[in-house]
Amino acid sequence: MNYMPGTASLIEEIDKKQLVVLRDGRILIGYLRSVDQFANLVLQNTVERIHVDSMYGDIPRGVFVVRGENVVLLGEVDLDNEERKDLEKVPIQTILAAQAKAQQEKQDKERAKAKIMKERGLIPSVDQNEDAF
Amino acid sequence: MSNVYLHLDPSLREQKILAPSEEDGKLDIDIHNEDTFGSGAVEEDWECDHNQLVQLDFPKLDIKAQSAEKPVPNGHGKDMDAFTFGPLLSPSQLNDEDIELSNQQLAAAVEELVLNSDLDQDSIDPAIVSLRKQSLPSPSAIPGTSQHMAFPGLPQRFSNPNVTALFGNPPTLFDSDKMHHIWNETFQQNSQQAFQQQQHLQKLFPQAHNSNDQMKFSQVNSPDHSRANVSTPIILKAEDLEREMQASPPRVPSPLFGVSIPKRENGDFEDMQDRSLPARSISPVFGSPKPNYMPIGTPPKHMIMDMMHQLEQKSKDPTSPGSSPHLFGGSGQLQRPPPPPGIPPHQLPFFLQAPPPTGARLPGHMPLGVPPGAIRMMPPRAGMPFLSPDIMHRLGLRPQHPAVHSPIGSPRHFPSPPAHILGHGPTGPPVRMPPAGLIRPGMHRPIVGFGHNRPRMPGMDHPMRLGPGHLHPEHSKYVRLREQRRGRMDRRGYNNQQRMRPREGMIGVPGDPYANIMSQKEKDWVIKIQMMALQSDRPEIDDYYYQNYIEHRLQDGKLNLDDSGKVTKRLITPTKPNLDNRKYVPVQFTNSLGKLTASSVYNPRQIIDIAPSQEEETANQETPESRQTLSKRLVIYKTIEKAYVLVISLEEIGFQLLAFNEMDDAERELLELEIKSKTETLEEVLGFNENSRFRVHDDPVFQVVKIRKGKKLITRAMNFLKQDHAILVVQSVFSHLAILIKRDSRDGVLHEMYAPISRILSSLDFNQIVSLCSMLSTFTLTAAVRDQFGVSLICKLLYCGKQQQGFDVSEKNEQWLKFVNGVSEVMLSVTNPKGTRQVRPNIPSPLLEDFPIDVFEILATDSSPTTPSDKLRTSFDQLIANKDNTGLEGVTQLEAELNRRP
Repeated sequence: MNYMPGTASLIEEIDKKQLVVLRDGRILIGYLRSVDQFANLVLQNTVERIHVDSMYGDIPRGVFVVRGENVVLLGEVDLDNEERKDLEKVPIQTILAAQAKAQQEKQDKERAKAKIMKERGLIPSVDQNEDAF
Repeated sequence: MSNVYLHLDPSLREQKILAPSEEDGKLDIDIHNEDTFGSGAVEEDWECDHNQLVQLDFPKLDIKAQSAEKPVPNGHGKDMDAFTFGPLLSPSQLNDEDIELSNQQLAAAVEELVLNSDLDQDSIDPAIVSLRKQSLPSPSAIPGTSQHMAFPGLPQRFSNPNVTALFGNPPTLFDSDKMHHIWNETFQQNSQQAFQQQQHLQKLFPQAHNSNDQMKFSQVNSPDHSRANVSTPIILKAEDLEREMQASPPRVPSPLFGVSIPKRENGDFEDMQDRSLPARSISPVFGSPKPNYMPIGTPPKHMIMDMMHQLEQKSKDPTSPGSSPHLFGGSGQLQRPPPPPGIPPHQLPFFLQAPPPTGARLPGHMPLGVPPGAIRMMPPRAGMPFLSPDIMHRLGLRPQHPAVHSPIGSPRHFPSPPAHILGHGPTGPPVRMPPAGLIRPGMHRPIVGFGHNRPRMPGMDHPMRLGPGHLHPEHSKYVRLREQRRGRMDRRGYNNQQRMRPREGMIGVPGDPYANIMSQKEKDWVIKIQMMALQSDRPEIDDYYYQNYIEHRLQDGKLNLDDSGKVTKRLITPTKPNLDNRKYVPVQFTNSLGKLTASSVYNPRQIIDIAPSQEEETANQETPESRQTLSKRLVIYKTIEKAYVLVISLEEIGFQLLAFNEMDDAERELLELEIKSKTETLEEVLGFNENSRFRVHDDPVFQVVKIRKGKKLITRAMNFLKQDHAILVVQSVFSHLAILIKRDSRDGVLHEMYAPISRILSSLDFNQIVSLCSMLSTFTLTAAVRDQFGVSLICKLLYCGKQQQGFDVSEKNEQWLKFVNGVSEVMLSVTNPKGTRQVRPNIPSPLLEDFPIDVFEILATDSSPTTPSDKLRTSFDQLIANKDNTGLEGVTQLEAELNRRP
């Protein structure tokens, strides 16, 4: 079993359903249609999947062109075992609301934590990654 | 009104009264031209061009046209005010001014149609000529003035309320008698004229709302007065369209690029899901003029050029069907039976075959947003008789097979009418179709009726892949992609709705319609790029860690053994560095020393490469022309370089010969042979040959010696040159001594030549010395005496001459004495310019080495009558007296100086 160097190995994955995690944490699921040497991706029939706890929701995104530098990982979706029993698919509105709620909670928590730390003389570091969601 | 396309009787034109709006119209045209093509793009006088171009029409037709023109009534101007376009738009005002103006407009369009149309009619594009011949109607087909209709059934379709409901008003257009005129003429014209007339047809659209007047007009003028009146519901006026366009270009998602989509009163937009690009109302070629001044669908000039070109090609194509005009007749009849099914497409009326030329350049009153179905009532057969589908496509006309090649992004779109319009004849069952005009381009509409049942033309199953007009390359790629997809599905026989959206289930399964969007070639390209990164001709540098790792593994003896024993994935690497086919070849231009690099994926950028390439050198040797093209100086530099290489190698061999005294004779011979051959090469390089003579004006040695490096070269090369050639060098130096001395003031290397030259001088016989002396003019002597090198040479010459001098009284001897006297005079004047007896102390010291004391003694004792012997004698006495004191000192000084210099 051999593989190609660099992004050439992605050619094997073309026309298969792929899950792509972007640098900002977004999860895209779609059919990989084209790649290039920079790992720029063209995804078709893409959905953006949002997971909150055991719920997930898909936002249809259509054709998605991803600049290669933003790709964290890419993996083929197992079509046979795509539907997981432990996860519940919910409508978009629901998942968006849940996501907002989760983010709010997280922010509150962070704020509280920062406050406590500040009281003890610690300046909390700003976690940039959280902003992206 | 159609007659405006045809040649008008000049007398008719002369009688015309200038319409007050004509000038404005021209101004508008110019504005539009500028907006369309950029200012200055249309510089020619289009009116002039027109006047020439209208001559292309056939006189016969002209007559007919005039006759048809005359009955045009003039009393329908009351609706004029409804138009914002000016008088031209009203059919009721069809008079000579309008005709003239239309002619001008036409000319503006035709100007682009005909290349360099300022030629006379005989010298126009041969393609047009041939086409004209081709399209000449058969005698029976020319209906003369008849308004005979070959397709009585067609207008019925047009008058069908369904049609009007779907297409808006334009069907009334076909009821117009004018239109019949147009098509009557059109089908007899060549394609060019047809094109023009179609352009005009468009122009007629704005009048369409004026249908009642038009109808009256038609009926009045039609020979066939039995024509029934038609219901012509007006859905959208053209002016409304234009106003709408000017106010805000529609941004509705529309497949109809560049075409304003008329709003349907029934509002049946079904294609809203189409996410095509927003409408582009203008030619993309010349930038983006303001949309509100832009005649939509104005084709850029190059399109017309292309069209003409292809027209020519098409005309040469034997398979392309000629025009078949005989079936075409302008029809005044409205109620007509449907045409027989399966009628050969080329027998369709022309206006059904050929869409209107939206590409026309019309002044000011471009019918924006012509309702698409209005004109294109039929699926075209294999295109217009004269125009290849490609041309039609480029012109924005709907190509022959409306189904498959989608004009998405094409600036214009002429959808076919729905099948239930065309197919409601006896032959075809009604087919559920999306409304015309909203049909997404590229959709395949199986036209039931003669459209669908007609015999398939060759190539229709695989219709030409048309370049989608003047699209951006990327966009056209996209279009083609879509076409392919559509085409694939069409062949599968999906209906339109299915085609609109690929089914979800299709994706990811074997029948995935989007599979292999990335072609194998593209994949290979990516692989190649990635592989290239691994190619290296110096892996120890580029891939240090890997190489070390492999070495360690080799040392451990387990390169091929996996520690775990499992089969692991292995990286596929290029089998061998394949660098030679990617070898960097710098570009070089004539007379440039440096070389430009063209960097690419395969050739990463490199610094400028100055090294001359091998080919160039050989080329220079082979062709004397290329040598001449290089500058003379460059040639000399190259000569010096080559000679230097030879001299150095000769010297090396010489050292070898000296070093190995105990060398074998064979080896020695070998080296000597090499010396000989190299010497010959050297002499060849320096321009010597067997019987070369010294010529003052063509002296290769002097060219070399002029250059600093060349002096050093000659100094070293003289050790190897043959005697003859060495004498040539000496002659050259002597003849140009003054120049060399002057030039050497900066270089200061001339003195290095003294030793070899003096050696040569010593070996000369008296005759040669005398001939050398003759080369030294008084001017040269004066210059030479002031210079260390020059005076040394002269003294050496005097010395050698003195030694060789015979005592016979010959001509040579006299010459020699004359020279000696000259030298002594010059020397005296230089050393003692004021005539004082005091010899200046700055006697050039190098003279003292071989100072020809005896020469001066001779001069002193044997002075000629012209010589101021007293002065000389005293001067030389002084010199001789000084010699004992300063002589040795001077020699050592000279030696020290020579050693100091490089």
